Amino acid sequence: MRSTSASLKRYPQLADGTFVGRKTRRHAASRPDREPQSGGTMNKIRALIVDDSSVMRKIIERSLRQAGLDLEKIVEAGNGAEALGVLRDNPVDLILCDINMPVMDGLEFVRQIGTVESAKGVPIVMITTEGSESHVVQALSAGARGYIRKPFTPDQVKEHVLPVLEKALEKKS
Amino acid sequence: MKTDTSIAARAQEENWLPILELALQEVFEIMLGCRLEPASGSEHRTGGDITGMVGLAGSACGVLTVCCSTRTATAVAKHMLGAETVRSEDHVWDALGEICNMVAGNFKNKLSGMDGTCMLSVPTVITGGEYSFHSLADGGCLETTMLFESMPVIVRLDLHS
Repeated sequence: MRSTSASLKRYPQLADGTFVGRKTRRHAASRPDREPQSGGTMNKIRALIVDDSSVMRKIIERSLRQAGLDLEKIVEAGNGAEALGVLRDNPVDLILCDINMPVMDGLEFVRQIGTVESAKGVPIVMITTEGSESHVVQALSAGARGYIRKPFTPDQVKEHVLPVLEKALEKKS
Repeated sequence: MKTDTSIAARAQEENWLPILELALQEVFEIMLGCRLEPASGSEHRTGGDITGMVGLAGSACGVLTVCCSTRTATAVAKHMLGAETVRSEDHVWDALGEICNMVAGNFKNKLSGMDGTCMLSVPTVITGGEYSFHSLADGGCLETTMLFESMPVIVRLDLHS
């Protein structure tokens, strides 16, 4: 590819690290179908969202809120290695993770999560464009509890995340 | 009898263009809540000044690009995030890269026989329109233009044979 005045930007090396207690972001007001739902049964959930796209992290966070989760704290990471570091300082109840990421991909992250004592047993749901059966099998074999394909609706997030989270919280209590 | 079993030949035989269009439409409908309209005529064939790219490797090799104007990409980002959240061009680049990534993933997930054998790269975004695209892919290309809020979005898949 030849470029004259065009500039090439390497897609996200998003190292904006951890954000705690972010404000609720609402989607465009013209879309009432995406308003947050009430009636969540789980309180004060701490979640880690791992994705190299900050846009996607925001969308996932919004989807969790729309699923009725009362999010006490959201922490974020741009790749698996960063996520392991974040987990060491921030115990969480739920992890949502992409697969295709620079530095350390999601599958490797899932394999290595056992090295973080406080993260053992925390349910992981993969959210990724890699939707083939072999990727699903790999992710579940590595320890993920759920799998959501991008593009996804807030309802799909609710459908896949809530049962996994409920089960994990039951086990914990 | 099949004599050419290349992926490019398969793309032609199986007519992948409607699948590519469907993959694009689904991403916009699900992630943005917007329906794309088909573009007609050559007035929408002009290139944009921002391009998202995702590489494919494995059973299908090539590159998928999504090209549009910065105005269009900004509107896309606002639909994805909410207008108040899009504060910088980083969000616009990121949003277009993710759209490109999801179109590529959705497309390959719709093709049979690609199960786990076609990998995607992380996206790259190019800004600026004054460049020529010379893909080394030798298997031809699929290209479609659709309208997002009356603005063209061009998706192109260049394949290696």
